[in-house]
Amino acid sequence: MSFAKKIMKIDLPQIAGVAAFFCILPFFLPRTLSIQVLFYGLLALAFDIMYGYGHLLSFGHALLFGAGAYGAAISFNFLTGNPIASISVGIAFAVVIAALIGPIALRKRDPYFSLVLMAFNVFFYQLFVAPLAPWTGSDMGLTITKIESFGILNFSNKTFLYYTMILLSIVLMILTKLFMKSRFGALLVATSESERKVESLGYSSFRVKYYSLLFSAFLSGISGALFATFLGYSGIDFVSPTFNIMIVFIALIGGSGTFLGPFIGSFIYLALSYSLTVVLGWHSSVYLDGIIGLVIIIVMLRFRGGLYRYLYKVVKDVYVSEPIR
Amino acid sequence: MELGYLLQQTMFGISIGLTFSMISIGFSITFGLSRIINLAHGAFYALGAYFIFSAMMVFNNYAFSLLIAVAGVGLISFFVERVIVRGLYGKDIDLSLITTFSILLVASTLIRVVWGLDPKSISPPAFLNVQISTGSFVFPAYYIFLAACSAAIFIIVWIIINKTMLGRIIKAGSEDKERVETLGINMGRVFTINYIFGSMLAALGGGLMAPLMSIEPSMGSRIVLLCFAVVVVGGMGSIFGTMLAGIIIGLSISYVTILSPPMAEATAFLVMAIFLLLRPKGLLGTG
Repeated sequence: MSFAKKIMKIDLPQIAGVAAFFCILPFFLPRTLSIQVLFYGLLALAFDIMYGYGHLLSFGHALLFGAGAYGAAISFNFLTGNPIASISVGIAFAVVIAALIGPIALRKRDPYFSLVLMAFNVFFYQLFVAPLAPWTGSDMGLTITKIESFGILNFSNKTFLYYTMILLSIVLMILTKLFMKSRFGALLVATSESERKVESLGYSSFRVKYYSLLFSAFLSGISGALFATFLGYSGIDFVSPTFNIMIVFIALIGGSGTFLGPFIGSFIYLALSYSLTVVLGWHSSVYLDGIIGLVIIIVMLRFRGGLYRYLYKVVKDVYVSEPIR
Repeated sequence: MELGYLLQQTMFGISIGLTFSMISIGFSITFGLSRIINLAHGAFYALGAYFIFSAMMVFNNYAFSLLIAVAGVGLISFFVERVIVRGLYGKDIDLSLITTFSILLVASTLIRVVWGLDPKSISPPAFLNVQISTGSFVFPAYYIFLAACSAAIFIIVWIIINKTMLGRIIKAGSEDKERVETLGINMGRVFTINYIFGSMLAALGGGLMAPLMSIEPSMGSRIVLLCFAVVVVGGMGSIFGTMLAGIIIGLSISYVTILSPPMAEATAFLVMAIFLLLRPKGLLGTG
């Protein structure tokens, strides 16, 4: 099948819808908030490749996101101001971490996989807070001081930068869709059903899961790196182990195993956290964790489908798309 | 660095390691019997520490406060099991991971709201608040008490698991739940008892550890990963493996504290990673 045909097979209206949504979002929200919705959505999508499709719950995507953000920020400050090079360093950092811990985490399935990733998340968090403090700025986070404009990535014009980021995200979304539609995506879904059957077809189930993890790390890393580049800042919150459960929340509330779910979830998460800040003032972060925890408990026990599947039931007469799992 | 300091760290490692393994036992048997990963274990550990802090303010008696803390956590875990955890039996494991993690999150938020953000501390009972010193070797008596307590509780748990009817049901239930039910045993009730028992062990661990460290809201999420590391190193379902693993993890923590205090707990996870690579079934695990 030619590449053009492959592109046509993926559900382009969905991607167009997401892109259109993010193009008009800055007219209602501040740009930093809109970009946060976008990149948290992409991060949750990366998480969802592992969880929604491969049924491997990951508690380590905060680490991959943070690695991307810190990799880019450290490279900006200490190596080069060139954005392409620095963002690549961020992505490479995330992918290398995933490549190193993947063989350990993927030895066994679920409780091991998620908790081993979480353990490594804590390990790197401690590493970033204390021994690497001169480079990471400890718990104050790292502000990017030196940044150069490069080609289309023009850092003096934030509006232009915002739309460039959206363009890049569309490319990423198409890549994700292609990945999920490829034989590899199908195999990943198959491993979640029965690894033995995948093995009997002649594929290595470990390799399928490992490469999926690497792709997921690439996606989280690039969203972290782009987010840090846009903000000009990388915070310790990005690698914090509790950020993981927020990613889970984003993916679950929107509907895990669907393409649009993570973006809906990310919008809800940020709406919740910012409206709480408005209502309760700056102490709201104390309550935010608890409220999110309560919502997750209710969603897990009663409404497992997520919001997207409920919305889809409403619009399914006019618009047909598949929630894949 | 002199020898005395090293010896002191060794003793420290062994005593906290034994406590870790005691806490992990509850985590391990809940997984073995009901097939849920109970991350809320950390919440009960933290609640145990906070309850003993509050009870000490009122009664100023360590043993009595410990009793109150354990009983209080037992009561709370009963309600948690009835309302939330009950819906997770027999479901996919990721469901229990996410839900119990959320319980942990809610609990630490409630702790922040009730007790505030600043760390608390309590002092051990007066007769244990002494230091044994010979030459350069200084050692708080409380560590010995901690190790002895943990070892005693360990033996009690071993007796309960291996010598009583309840223990036999738990062991048989871990193997095959349906067949135990056909014998006319209400497994739902056994699950509840098991859950409360595990939570009380966590609270006991929290109460015993409380005089040693600052009591803070995030302590629950830290201990639960250490529990997991202990269980992985020791092997699921092996009581003595868990004890051995606890000591290994405790020692690695206390030795790394000498070199770099912030990395101490993180090193435990490296030990776990090495074990997962070289011996995935754990020290004494059956597979």
